[in-house]
Amino acid sequence: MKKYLNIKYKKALPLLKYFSGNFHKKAFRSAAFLLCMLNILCLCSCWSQRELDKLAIVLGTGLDVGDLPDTLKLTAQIVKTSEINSGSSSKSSTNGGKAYVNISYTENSVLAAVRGITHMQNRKLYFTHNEVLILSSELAKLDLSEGLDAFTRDYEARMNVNILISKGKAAEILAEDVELEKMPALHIAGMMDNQKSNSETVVVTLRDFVIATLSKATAAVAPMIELQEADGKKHVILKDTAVFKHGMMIGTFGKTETRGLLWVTNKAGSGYITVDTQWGQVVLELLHSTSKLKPVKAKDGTIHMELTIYEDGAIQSNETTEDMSKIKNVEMLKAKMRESINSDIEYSLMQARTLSADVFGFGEAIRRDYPKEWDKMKDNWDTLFPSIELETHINVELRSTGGLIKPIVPGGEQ
Amino acid sequence: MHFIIKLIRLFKEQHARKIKRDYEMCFGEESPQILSGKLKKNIDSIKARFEGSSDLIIREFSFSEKKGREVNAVLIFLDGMVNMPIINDNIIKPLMHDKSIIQAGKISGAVNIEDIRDKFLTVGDVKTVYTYNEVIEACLSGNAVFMADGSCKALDIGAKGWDKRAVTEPTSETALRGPREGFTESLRTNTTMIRRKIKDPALKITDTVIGKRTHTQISILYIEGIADPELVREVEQRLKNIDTDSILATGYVEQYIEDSSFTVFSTIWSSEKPDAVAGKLLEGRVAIAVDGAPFVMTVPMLFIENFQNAEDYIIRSHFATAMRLLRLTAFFISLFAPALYIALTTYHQELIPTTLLFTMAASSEGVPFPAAVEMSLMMIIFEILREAGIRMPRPVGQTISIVGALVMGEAAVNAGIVGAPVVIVVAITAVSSFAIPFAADGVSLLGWFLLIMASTMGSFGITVGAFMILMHLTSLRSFGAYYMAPLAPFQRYDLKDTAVRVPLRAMNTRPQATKPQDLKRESAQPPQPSNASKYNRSRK
Repeated sequence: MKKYLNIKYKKALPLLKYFSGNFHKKAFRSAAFLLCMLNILCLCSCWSQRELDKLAIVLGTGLDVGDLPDTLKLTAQIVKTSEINSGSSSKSSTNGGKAYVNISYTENSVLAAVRGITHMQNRKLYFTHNEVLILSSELAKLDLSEGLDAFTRDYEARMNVNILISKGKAAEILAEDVELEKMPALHIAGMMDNQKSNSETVVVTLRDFVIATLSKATAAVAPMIELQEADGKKHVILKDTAVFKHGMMIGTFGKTETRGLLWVTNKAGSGYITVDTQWGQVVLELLHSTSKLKPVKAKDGTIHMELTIYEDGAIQSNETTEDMSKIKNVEMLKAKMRESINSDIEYSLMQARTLSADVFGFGEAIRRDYPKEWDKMKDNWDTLFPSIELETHINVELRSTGGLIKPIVPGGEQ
Repeated sequence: MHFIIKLIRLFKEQHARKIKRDYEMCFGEESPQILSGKLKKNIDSIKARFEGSSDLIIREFSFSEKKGREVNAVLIFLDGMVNMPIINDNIIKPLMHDKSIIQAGKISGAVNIEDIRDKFLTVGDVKTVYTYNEVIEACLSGNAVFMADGSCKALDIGAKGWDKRAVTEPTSETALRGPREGFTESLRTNTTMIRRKIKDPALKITDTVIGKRTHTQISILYIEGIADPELVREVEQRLKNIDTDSILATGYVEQYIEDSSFTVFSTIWSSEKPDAVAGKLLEGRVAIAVDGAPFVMTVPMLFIENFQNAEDYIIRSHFATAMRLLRLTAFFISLFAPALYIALTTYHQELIPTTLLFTMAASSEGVPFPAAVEMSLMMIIFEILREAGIRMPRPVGQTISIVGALVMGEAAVNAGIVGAPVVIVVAITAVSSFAIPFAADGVSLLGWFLLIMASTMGSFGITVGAFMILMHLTSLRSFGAYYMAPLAPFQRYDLKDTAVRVPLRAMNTRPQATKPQDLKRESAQPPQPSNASKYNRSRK
């Protein structure tokens, strides 16, 4: 054997020279390395590989109550990639059709419905780009847990999907064409991105919603969407806020209450406040606002909440003939602004007390700062919440009068 | 007086003894290597060695000795390799025109060939040779050999003069602001060009001859006092170890002396530009010039040299830095772009922005192949086009590129065989690889490797592949230097010439990777600017 090897080695002399080292060691090493590589390939190659043209990219999902008892109807908005103009001239002939297709399937669970769609479609639903999740209020009033669990537990679906509650059928909202966007779901998602500039809608992702639902104290909220008819045409419109308790929708917040909610939860962004003065209307722009909610324990042992708001504003439009840049007018506007913010919060608090839903997260704040007290309160929080007092300190600044100082008055000089 | 006469006699005796010894060497014990004193015999032997070579010219003539006796002589050279005016005017003319030029040797029959060398040949480079091999080597290297009847020595007369390409602008590296001259195929011209850049006697040029058949002359250039003597010795040793019959270009030498053959990265740097090579020499590197190749190599080479350019030091440092960063970006794009595209489109669609995903999905709609196959196809086609474009004559090459561009860019996409994004990715990869010409070949091969990894394992595969490449790079050595220096091992001062090229005033030390003997570039006492000058740079 040894002799045989020697002969072999002599033949491999040029090769040996080439490696110019311990041939044994090198050969063994490279063989081991190749085996390792092969292992990697065998163990995990091509697993979960998907081609782009085998995907049904879901942009929006709607959940409705099914026609049969104990079922739900899942509607998925899928991109019709063949209708997307990819820029090549040969495909322009097919343009003109809808760029999406809505597929519905009724089954007794979300997952069953998703898999059920494979009976109707050659492509598997792909949820990572799901932008909106619309639940009908009919379903929301019954039970949400099933839908939420499926979308949260699944790896594919993202937690930053926008949650919306539709007044009517969710499928109808998804089916409503819009002018500026090819896909209704993208239109809704785009709208949600814009809501910071009016501070009248809550923007809630699946993650926020699930966290609020899991909390013992906080009541979850979600924006509502509905179809409205105007000029003989239907439009989707964001309006009101749905309030949940124990996984069920129990009521709504209107426009004012929603803004109050945003003030308390430090989510108010930009927006405007219309102020009535003795000379007429002045519109103030909200530039930047921060708020801080803090539980305070009084000497007698009762806990109340303290809310501090810092708000920067600017004059956006002055519909009067009065010069609003005067100090006394500025002070007056600031006072009106404070008043307006305060009344928003009051309305909001009132509605929350009526529903006995802690949408502001008072309970969470108390739990963080006074855990011992919270332990006593948490079991009958529902009855305690309406009695929690809120003390508000509102600090308002008017930073600018905009591009004009004096109002535009015929004959008035600047 | 008596003493002087004695001394002269002693000299004469010695001289006579020496001539006698020479004579014995020639006529007494005749060995085949040593030239014979008989001219006919010498000519015959040389003719026999050059049997079948029509370019050998043997010019026989005679000139007269002092006593009026005619001496036969011969001039041997290879046609086309010598400078004919030198042969005619500086060798044959003085010998034949001037009668009675020869001082006959003391011993009759022996011609004192040194006298001819010293008094009559008006040529600069003349050597006395003794053996046939030397004569033949002289002829082959383009010299003329003079032999006279009765002398067992020959004269190797430097009359080299073959047709060579003029110094032109290099084609592989173009300069915007730098010198435009490039190396030629002539070794001496090349070393001269470097010598003219570095006018310092410390610039050493040592020659060796390698190749049993090609007898290729190879020069090692280095600056004494800067280059590490250890490094010079190593280069000499490795060149000495080359055992081959042919060296036809720098690439031959490169493959014989490089540290590791198992790599796609070149560990020996080469350039067509004398200014670039001079710059490397001044960094303490050793240059190797090979006769017949318009490139000069320098060692050791570092990875970062793939992205350096002689122009970087000519333009201002801000822009040079921007260019460096751009080249590094191009390197990463050309390495990772196809692999990343495949990983994203077949494994991680969630990472693609939603609207971009639509467009990409739309363009892959109706494409019959999986994305990886599509990408491989386009990359193969591109490689073929590139190869064809380089190898074909220029007019045909243009046609190829037009046809290729149309077929690749337009027709294939319109016919729905490949998607437009794939074509875009391949094009971006190709263009990026052109921005780093030195590393382009290796990078395109590694691009394939990463593509396979990505198409089987997604981004995990890319990570594994990238780590393997990194491991490989850090394990590479080039003539004692770590290939990834100054990044690994980390050398703080050398970072000034990596991704960032600092202003020249701050580049006051040579790179440590080459282990230079003299680390500082600046003189010990920098000249002090006079404060009185109103052009003084420093502001008060």
